[in-house]
Amino acid sequence: MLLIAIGVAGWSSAGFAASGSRGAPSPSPSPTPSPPAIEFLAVPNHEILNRTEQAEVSVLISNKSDKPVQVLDVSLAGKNTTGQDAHFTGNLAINSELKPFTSASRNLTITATEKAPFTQTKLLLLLRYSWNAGNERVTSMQTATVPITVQRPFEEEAKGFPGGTAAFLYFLLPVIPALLSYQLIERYRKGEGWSLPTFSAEHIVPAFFLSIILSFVILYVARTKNGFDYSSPRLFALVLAVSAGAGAVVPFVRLLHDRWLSRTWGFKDNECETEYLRKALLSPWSPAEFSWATGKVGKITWQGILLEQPGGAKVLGAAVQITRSETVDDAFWENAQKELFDGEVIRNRQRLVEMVASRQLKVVLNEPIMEGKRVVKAYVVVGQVKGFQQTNSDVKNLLRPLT
Amino acid sequence: MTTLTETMVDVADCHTTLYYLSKTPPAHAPLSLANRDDYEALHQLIRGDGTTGYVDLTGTAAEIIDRVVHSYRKKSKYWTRFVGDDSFPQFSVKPWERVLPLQASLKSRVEFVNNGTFNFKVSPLPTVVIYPFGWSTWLSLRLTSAHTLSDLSRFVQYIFNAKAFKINGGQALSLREYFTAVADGIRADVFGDKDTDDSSSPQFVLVTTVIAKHGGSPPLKLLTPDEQLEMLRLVKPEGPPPKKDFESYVKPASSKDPLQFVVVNDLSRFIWLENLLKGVGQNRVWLGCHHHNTMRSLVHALQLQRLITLSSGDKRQLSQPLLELLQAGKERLSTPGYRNLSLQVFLESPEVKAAIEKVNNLK
Repeated sequence: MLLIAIGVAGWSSAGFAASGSRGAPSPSPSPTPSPPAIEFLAVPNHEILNRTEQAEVSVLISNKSDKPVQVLDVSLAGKNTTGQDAHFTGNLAINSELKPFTSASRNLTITATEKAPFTQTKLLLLLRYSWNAGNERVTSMQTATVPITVQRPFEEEAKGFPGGTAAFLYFLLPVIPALLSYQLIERYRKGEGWSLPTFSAEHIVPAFFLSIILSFVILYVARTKNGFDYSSPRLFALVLAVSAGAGAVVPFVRLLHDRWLSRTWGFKDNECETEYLRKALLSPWSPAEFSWATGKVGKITWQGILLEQPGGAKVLGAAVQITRSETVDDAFWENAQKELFDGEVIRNRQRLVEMVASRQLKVVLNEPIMEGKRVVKAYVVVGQVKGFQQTNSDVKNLLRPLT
Repeated sequence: MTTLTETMVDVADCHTTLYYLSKTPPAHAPLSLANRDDYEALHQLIRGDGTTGYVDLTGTAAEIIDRVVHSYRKKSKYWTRFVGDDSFPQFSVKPWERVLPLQASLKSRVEFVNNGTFNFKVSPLPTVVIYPFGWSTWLSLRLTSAHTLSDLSRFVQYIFNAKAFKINGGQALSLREYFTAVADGIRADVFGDKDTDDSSSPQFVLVTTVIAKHGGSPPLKLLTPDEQLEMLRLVKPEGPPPKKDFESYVKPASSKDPLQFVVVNDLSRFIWLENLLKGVGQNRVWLGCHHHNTMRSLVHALQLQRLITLSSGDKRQLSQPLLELLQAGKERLSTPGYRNLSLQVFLESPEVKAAIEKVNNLK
């Protein structure tokens, strides 16, 4: 009981002492000013953002002191929060007085910029406030941490793939447009039309290999370890375009080459005899020995000299006779035969074509192309024998010198 | 366009008579054709140099025949194959056993009457092939200088259907009239004149061969219907045009070369052998030989076939010489020493098969 009495007395005296100091100025030297007790809480409404997205951060400021404070603003701290290269932006100007023992709440909007890294970042929020320290007005700060994770587009969707697949596809992404565009142009070049390209299992290994090479190249050239920033639509589109363009280069060049070959060496329906002989005899793939092929297109049997288009497609030609034209005499023809032929084997194809072109020699059909039992009176058939399935062939001279 | 520069057109008739071969042969015989001995003696009497005149053999002037020669006078592939003896005709001729004919040249000159539409030269050369049982007047026409297949077709039709010939500048005669005129002379000179009682074949042997050309060749598959008809008219120059498909008249002479072919109709042939049409080496000569041999072999086979066909099938009614000739003829038709595609087609005809069968079945 004695101890309790002493305690209560002590508490009472202390209470009086405090009341006395508030009511009248103390004669003792002025004490060191104590800062106001400010509590600063920041809670984001969501912590995962895509670039350019915003998060609302609820800010609660509590003045737990008996001094009024002037709350100035809330801002982001750190070197990447201002200027052109800022990763995050957000600033809240308040400029209002917070009375003792009161609280205030505000909403701060934080924006992840285009340059925000794809990772979790702990953002430091700074609360700035001012108060009177005696006769002097001072400004103090409080901090709070807000964790924000910036994720890539479709990152959530990618989590739906089996383990590792998403990362693998992400790795292959720069190469896939190239492969698809390659297929697209290559199929067109081969005359298969504009069919939808596919990315099948057989493409994975070359794509993986190309991706590795591409990654090394990028690292070397760009001196960057960040890889491609696909979250930027512009960059994403650019990457796709460059990749597709790169993939299309080879087949496109080949397509142009094919077009040139086709214009130079490709057979057309209703070809004239001079062009027919030139293409059949002088094309780079002209065989040393021609063959008379029998085969089917659908249910119809076709026969003719087997020839090849620049793209490899088969066409049928007629066997022809070579004879002298009326403008030259027998002596010329005899000499021409010696120069051009060894029996019925052609010695000098180039010269033969030149003589035909200059009308010194004449070309007429010898063995025509046969469509079933119908005689086709043309030197070459192209369109009608598309899909020709050869069943038989015999060696036959394309042309025959006849007196 | 194909331009022909030399073409041979040979045509022959066929007269068959048993004048010398009946059981009672005629007492008078201008030439000794009635039996083996006489026939072989006649062959021996004829000089091998081709200078033996008709008068040398008979002592009388002929009405139409100039000289008489062995048909086998010149050594050739045809005759050596015909008899199966490379030394022929040096030794062992056996004209009766082998049914070797004689050949007569004619006193009269035959001319071609050009109606003005043929711009090429036509050189006719007549001869008569004489057998103990008949004869064939063989008119060989050589066409030279440029002409087309169309011209050729027109020419063959012309000689069959128009009065295209003159004898010694006389009246123009048709081919049949010319053959009739020659036949009258042969009957008088060789057989029993009006008693000859011969039968003539309704069809002529006609062989046309292109010997030289330039400007390529006509691929058969590419011929238009008109061009096909022109080619068919070369083997059917008379009467209505052929009715069957063009292909059915064409016999390939080579399995590999479609430009070696013979167009065949009855006893007519149109021969195109591209391998021999190249103007190199002996090609032209060989082609001429092929043409000549074809004509000769067809005439010979036709003579034999008609002899058998017109003879009795009853052995008792046949004289011994005729029986010998029938047997020899059958052997020749069954196993001809010389054979080519043109002859083969005829030998496989029902008429020849029936003739062979007839001799086999002689009672």
